[in-house]
Amino acid sequence: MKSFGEETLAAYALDELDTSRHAAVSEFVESNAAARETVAEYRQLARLAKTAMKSAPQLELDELRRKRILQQAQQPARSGFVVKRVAPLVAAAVLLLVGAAVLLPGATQHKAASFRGGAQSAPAAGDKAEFFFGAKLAEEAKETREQLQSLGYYAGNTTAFRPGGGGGGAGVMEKGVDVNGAIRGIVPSSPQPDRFLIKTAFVSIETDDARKAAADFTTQAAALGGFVGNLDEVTDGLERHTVVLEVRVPADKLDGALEALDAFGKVLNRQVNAQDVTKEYVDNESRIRNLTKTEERLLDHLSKTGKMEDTLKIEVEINRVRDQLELIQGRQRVLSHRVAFSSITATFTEAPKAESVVPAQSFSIGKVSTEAVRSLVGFGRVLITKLIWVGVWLPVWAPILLVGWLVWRRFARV
Amino acid sequence: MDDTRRDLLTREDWVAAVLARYEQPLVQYAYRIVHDVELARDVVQDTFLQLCRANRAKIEGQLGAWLYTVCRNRALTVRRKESRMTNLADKDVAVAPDDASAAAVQDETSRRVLAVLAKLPLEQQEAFRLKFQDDLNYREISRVMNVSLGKVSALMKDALNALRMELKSELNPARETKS
Repeated sequence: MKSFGEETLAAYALDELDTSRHAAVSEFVESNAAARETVAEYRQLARLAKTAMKSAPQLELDELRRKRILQQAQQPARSGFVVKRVAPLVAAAVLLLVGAAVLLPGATQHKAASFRGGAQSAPAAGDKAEFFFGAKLAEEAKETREQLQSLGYYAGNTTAFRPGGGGGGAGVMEKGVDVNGAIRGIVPSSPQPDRFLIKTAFVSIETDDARKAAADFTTQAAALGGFVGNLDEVTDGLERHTVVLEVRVPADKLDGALEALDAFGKVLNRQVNAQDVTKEYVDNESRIRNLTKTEERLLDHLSKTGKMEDTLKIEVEINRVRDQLELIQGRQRVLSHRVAFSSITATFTEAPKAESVVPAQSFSIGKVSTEAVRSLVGFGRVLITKLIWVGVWLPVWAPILLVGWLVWRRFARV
Repeated sequence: MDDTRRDLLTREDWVAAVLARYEQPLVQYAYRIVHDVELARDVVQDTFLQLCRANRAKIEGQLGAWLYTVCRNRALTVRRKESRMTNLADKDVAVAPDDASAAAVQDETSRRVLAVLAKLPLEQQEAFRLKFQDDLNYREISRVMNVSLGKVSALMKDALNALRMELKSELNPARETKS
């Protein structure tokens, strides 16, 4: 007869064997006294264990959690079919559609070379128009750019995307400065100057009321189409005000603004500087033109090439050109603004006034009395503090003093 | 719960019936893992909320094992989070004895059984408690603990032998054989 180990006997004792195996083990146990004893002990241990486990205090859920579970049970069960089968299919379909839109240029974007953003309706300064184009629509994109430029938009960024397969693009054009750097929408219509001069004027005026003069001049500058840059006001010990005002007025209105200043009082100093930036301006203009053309050529190449390697190289080049273009265009914008608006720094000072007979600081009997009492209280505090210290240190200094006094007395007697 | 009656129950009644049957043992089981009554209750609440969302038809044949498995996994996750600062190894994140229950037991023999049990390796303790406290069979225990049937069998034998050694004087096999 086959014999069985303790593991099987334990499983047998705990009724964990299947029917056929149970019968075999049962036969073995019947015939083997030691096995019978082991099984009996296991069964007894099982009963003891069960009793011990069940006698331990039981923990349970609180009413709130129980209620929450039963409320959840009232909700309809989520359909596993929808979540596990339909949702992945829908997600896959969406991915396929997006993939197709990206991988098949022109298929979904062939009408995208039009622009949006209300560009048709006389844009204001700072307005932006976005436009997109597909791989085969570089020509349409170019037309769009020209159309926007004619409306006063500045050709800002044109970004090529999706390398390989011909590429596509997107662009942003901003109202403000056109490719030639001439200010539109900001400067009142004025003819393109022959010389580009940045004019700065410094005027010092002595007036009766500096604040009023500064306010009046601000109003006049605004009427001329200018605006205030910085304002600084100082008042000295004699209540005399000095106002330093920096205004920017359109370049062709500078002379008129300076004349207007004469009316505010006695002109102490006047200085007008002009910095000629014509060369830099023209150079920038030419570089912008060249870089724009280079960019357009590169974009054209990009739309024609099909090789990934070429596409990447062209994109690197486009980015380099675009960086340079943005730098120069930024500098050109600053120059344009400084040329278009001259700066006037006007310092309005008031005439020196006679010093007052009565001292500026007022005299008060109450204040003086209070200060005297405060001083007395302070002295009292210091005195009391010292006395406390002396008192606390009495055990130290008193014996020393006593000994010293005794010694002195002894020697004095001698 | 017999099959005919089960089919007649609405989902809410079914969850209520399962809750009544398994609430206490599951809280006890979760407590043995997380050592905190409120955390254990949270774990069991999450287990039952998962039951509410689960496919009833799929789990009914193995409800006990399913509940204990979900509860165990959730409790271990909670315990790992709680013990992150002490950086416990996975092996240590097992069911530990609940000393509080041992102290509360009045019967001397039961107290000795629980004391011996507390000295056993954690895996043996878990298998043993699932068997005698939660009334799961070997197959269910193997599923809950994610170990083989043979391993459960060996764990149980070792636990029983350890108890047998300690409680030898109190065992009376002759009486058991007769009964």
